Amino acid sequence: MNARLLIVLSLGATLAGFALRPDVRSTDVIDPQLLRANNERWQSLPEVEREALRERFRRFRSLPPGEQEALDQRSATLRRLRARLSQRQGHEPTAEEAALELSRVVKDMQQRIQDAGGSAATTADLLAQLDNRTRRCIEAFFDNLGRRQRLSQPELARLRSQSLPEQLRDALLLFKAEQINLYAEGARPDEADALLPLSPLDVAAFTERQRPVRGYFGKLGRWVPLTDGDRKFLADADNALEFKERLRELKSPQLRELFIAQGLAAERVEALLSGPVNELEREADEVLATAAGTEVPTPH
Amino acid sequence: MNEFQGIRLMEYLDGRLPPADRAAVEEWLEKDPEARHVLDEQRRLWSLLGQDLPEPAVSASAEFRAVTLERAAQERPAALLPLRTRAVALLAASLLVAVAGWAWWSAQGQVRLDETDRAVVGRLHLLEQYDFLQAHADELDVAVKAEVLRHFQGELPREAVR
Repeated sequence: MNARLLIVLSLGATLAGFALRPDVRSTDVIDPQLLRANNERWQSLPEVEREALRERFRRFRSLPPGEQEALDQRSATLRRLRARLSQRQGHEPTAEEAALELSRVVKDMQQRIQDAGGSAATTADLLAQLDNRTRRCIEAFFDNLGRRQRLSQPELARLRSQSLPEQLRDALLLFKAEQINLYAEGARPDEADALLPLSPLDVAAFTERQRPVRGYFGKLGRWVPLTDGDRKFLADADNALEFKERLRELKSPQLRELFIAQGLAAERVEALLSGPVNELEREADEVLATAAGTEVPTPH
Repeated sequence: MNEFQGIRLMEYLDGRLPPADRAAVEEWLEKDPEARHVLDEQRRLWSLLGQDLPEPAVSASAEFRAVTLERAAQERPAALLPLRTRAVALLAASLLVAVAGWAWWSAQGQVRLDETDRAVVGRLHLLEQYDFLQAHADELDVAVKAEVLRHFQGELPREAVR
């Protein structure tokens, strides 16, 4: 009895201590866990190294905003790549191992482009093609949000005038907000809240992992749920895009029936079933916002 | 017998009379039977006072004893907790104080960071990997775009994706 009381009191006091530590409560957009880890590392550094890092930070701050953003994105990607490697290898990767993994990513992308009938002999060629493709995708994303009036015209103009790394940053933030909103529809509130401090790409990676389990997010997830048979059928999808396209194809009779029943024009329904696959959940969320019940229409 | 004679007899009995007075009293006792009787009575009472008398029966009844003990139990001040419980409570309290002190100390460490240091701490990973980020900028950009495209290609129509 006494020992249990002691354990409970100690545990409670420890948790309270953690909760009260101010470095847990971040005022920045940085993941609090990351900030705490950084702070612990910072406290362990000698003053000479700290001064060198301050000097490096001054250099970083003197770069144009687009270049600062690009460095931030590279750093976040390197952190995720190192975390993946660490998990795979069971130890912290060295700089050489991280460089080797990066070379593998580049070769993999070059191979994909070759497989698609293109050519990207050098890293610079590959990068130019990826930049073009990224720009097109982000512009399409802004256009799609603009058409739904989720972005105003002045906001669209501001986003379009930015450098690619800045556009990427803002697109990722918008994407993160949308993913959390969609994911929250069928999840517990605390599950969705836990995503808030994560970086946009970490949120995107999380929802991508949930996709094979939950199928559609948002209101569509309730109306067109995934069955075990569907999951088996979709299990061998290569990536998130292929999964979503195959899911749309598989569920197209139910989707068609649902949208028609909600009063959508036949042409609009066909456009949704063959157009950008990311638009499907957005449209469904708008259409089903006023729909009553959750009865799934049975295809004829 | 008058009061004076009674007192003389008591003085005689106490042995406080001088020899001449004592002889006069003895002479009077030989002559007066009433005086002898009074003296005998006094002697008898006197001897009784020197005897061991039986103890009075003052021990409490069982009922009185029970009621009194019960009242005493109700009215006594609250007893202290057992020593072991007190020791555990003291240890737990000490732990609480230690944890609170540690939290305060940690908070002091964080508060000491000025605005620049906070910004540096926020980007510590970037700054520590600065040389690597510069040396592998193109490859990292490929990795960034590859990751982004995985999520944004679905914004394009299907034929454009392929």
